[in-house]
Amino acid sequence: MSKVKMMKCKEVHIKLAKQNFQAQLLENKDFENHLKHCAECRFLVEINTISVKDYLPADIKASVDFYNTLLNKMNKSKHQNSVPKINHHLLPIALAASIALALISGYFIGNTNSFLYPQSNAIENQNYTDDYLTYISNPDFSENYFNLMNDE
Amino acid sequence: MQKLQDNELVNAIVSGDEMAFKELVNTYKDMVFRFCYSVLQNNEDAEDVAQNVFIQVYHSASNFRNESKISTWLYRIAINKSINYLNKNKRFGFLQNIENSFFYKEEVQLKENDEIINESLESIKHQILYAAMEKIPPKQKAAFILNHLEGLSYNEIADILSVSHSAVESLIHRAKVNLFDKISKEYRRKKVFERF
Repeated sequence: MSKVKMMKCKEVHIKLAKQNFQAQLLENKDFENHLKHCAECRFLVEINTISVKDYLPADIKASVDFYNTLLNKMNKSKHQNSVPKINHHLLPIALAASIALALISGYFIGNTNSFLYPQSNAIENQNYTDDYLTYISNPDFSENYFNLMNDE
Repeated sequence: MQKLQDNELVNAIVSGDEMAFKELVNTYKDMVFRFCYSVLQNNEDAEDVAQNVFIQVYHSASNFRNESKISTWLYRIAINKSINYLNKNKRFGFLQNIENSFFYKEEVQLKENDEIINESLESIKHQILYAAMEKIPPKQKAAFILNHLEGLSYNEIADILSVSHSAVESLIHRAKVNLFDKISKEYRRKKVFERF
């Protein structure tokens, strides 16, 4: 079987691209050979016979009320533009403020006692400190501590 | 009423003449819509983007320099708006793909089989071309559409895209090669070669 030098599909694509869509086939043996054996490229050449203009419907037109819709859209965008632009800048500030508020309220909710009874809490803390100092200054403390360690 | 020249029309819009704006919209709405539709491939999106193009024209009419044609200026705005729209939607596109792959897979497969059985080859070719166009990069697509669908010259496209003539050539060439590759892939996916 004689070996026929075949073009690659990509080469065919490039050759076709160099021509206009309506152009006739290249009179080239390699090209013809390739087409004989390659259904895909045959299809590609065939598809060129469809004018690219067929890609669009012939009567493609803007809608009848294009201008009125356009005017409505312009009025709408005018209205949107009339809203003060500061709102746009206020948004991140409002967001930051609400996060700060959430954090502050979280802090106070977590510390309910200190928030509701700040005075009593301070007194309570003072009492604990006093108890602790009394306890460690007690002469029995070292003995108790020694016993505790030995028990373990 | 005598038709105003492009520069007179823009000057009238700058001075707040609403009739001039209406005339501009009525003259160019189909051109802008057709271009947006070619790029976005969806009627509602194209209408929405085309309207945004005219809104920008209204607000920035004073920036228009009479060096180029109004159509060039409109195409330029339409390209930017359409590409932005595509890029914006691409961010959410992959979520849509995941959703589709979970919920609509069977439906799509059934539809594809039906298409192969019932539809004409011409119709399938058209669908393949359409699907392939959807997948080429937006800038290449825009250049390709301006050249092949709108019939603009390379120089005009270079002016619209603010690039050199050779850059337009390269963009259109890459668009075509990409398009052929995508068509091949679509072709394989739809397995039309058995009928061909």
